[in-house]
Amino acid sequence: MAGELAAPKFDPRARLAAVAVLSTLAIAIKDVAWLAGLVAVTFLLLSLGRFDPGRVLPRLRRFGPLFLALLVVQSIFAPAGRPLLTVAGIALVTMHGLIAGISIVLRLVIIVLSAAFIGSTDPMELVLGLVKLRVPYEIAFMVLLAIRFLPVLMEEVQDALTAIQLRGVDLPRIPPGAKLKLYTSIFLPVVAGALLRARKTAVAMEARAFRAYPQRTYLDELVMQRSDVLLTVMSLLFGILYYLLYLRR
Amino acid sequence: MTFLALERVGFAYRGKNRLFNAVSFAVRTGDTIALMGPNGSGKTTLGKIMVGILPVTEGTVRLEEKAIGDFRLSEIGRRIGYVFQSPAKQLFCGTATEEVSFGLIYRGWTVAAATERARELLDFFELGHCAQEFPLNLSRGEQQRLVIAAALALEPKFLVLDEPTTGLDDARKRQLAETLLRLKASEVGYILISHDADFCRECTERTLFLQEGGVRWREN
Repeated sequence: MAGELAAPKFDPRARLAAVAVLSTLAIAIKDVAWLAGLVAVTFLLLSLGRFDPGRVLPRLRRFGPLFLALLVVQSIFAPAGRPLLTVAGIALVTMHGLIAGISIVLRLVIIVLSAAFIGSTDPMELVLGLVKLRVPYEIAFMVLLAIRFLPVLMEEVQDALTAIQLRGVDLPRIPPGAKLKLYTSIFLPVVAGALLRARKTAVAMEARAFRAYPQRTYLDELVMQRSDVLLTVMSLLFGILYYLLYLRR
Repeated sequence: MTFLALERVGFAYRGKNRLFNAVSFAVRTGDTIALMGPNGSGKTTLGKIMVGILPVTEGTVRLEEKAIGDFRLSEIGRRIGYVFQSPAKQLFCGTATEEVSFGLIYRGWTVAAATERARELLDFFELGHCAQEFPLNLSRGEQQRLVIAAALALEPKFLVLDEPTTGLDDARKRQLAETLLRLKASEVGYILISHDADFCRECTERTLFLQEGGVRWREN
């Protein structure tokens, strides 16, 4: 992911501020049109970071089935308003349910896109940024580990799926029930494997004297540039203004 | 009969980092081959290409005269057993017994018959004592023997073993060599990806050296 952002290279604190504002607004706002506006702003933010849409859009496409499932579930379980799809006299999809579903999907789109804005930060810089925000180093380092371990975990799941298929299981073609059972059965070993790896990492960290001294020094120092201050201030102002306008709509 | 054929195969990770160019060779059923080469020469990558885990960027791989891309991974798995370089990567069951019986159950064996077969293989590989253990809690050597047992349970026509001797002591190495030689006698071929020259010389007929993007053969 690093390298997606060519310029300007924002300070992680400025990025965190922008993402915090967008995510908070995504949760606080309930109106579909206002959420759609927020999606547009998120795209604008990504374009500020010179994100290639060709890289961002496949990321969203991967969430397609989840978005579709949420849309359907929300439509069915939040029944109110004009029925749009009725089966045997039961309103399966209603206007209100559909709008609720679209709202959830838009919220997730905002969170996924803004995560991409954070995800392009050098993980070590993110740690330094969090430390500057007075987050204890131990917690900040855990964030770094989580970021680094996520692709490893994904790779492990992929390896397990490859190994399953190489043992003669036609994964794409087995019935959904059997597939679900199979995924459930590999979930526990994969998570347990990740925990075992985490334990080994903890031992390796202690062997390298992690937390041996109360004070830490840092090779690199983060300094907020004018563009970082501008992004932070603009994000906060935008957040307040957008929410006030939304309340007065 | 040619079982597996690579025709002018080239591979580069993400379009760059070219590992090899126009590599061609054929493998017959029953062939026993060692694949050797320096670190980073692409031995593991070539092994993954041979079983269809990685698609080639140039050239063609044919399995039983058909392009490997025409097979699903599960179909390849029924013909070729593959042992990953890192055994932990292919362990996904709750116990060692389930690990070995997994493929058999999906092949239609009853749970009782598959468990019985798993027990036999575990005993053979001296893993009977850890039949109910969580596979990731086993030692590296035990994991290595477990994945080999799981691959052999399916009685494949051919095996690709990536660094199978890593983590094995001399006695277990000898046992693996005897197993491989027995497979060889029953016309099951294999490719050993290894740095262990003595082991390769003992268990294989030919060695394929992968070096500077190309291959050359040597009779053992």
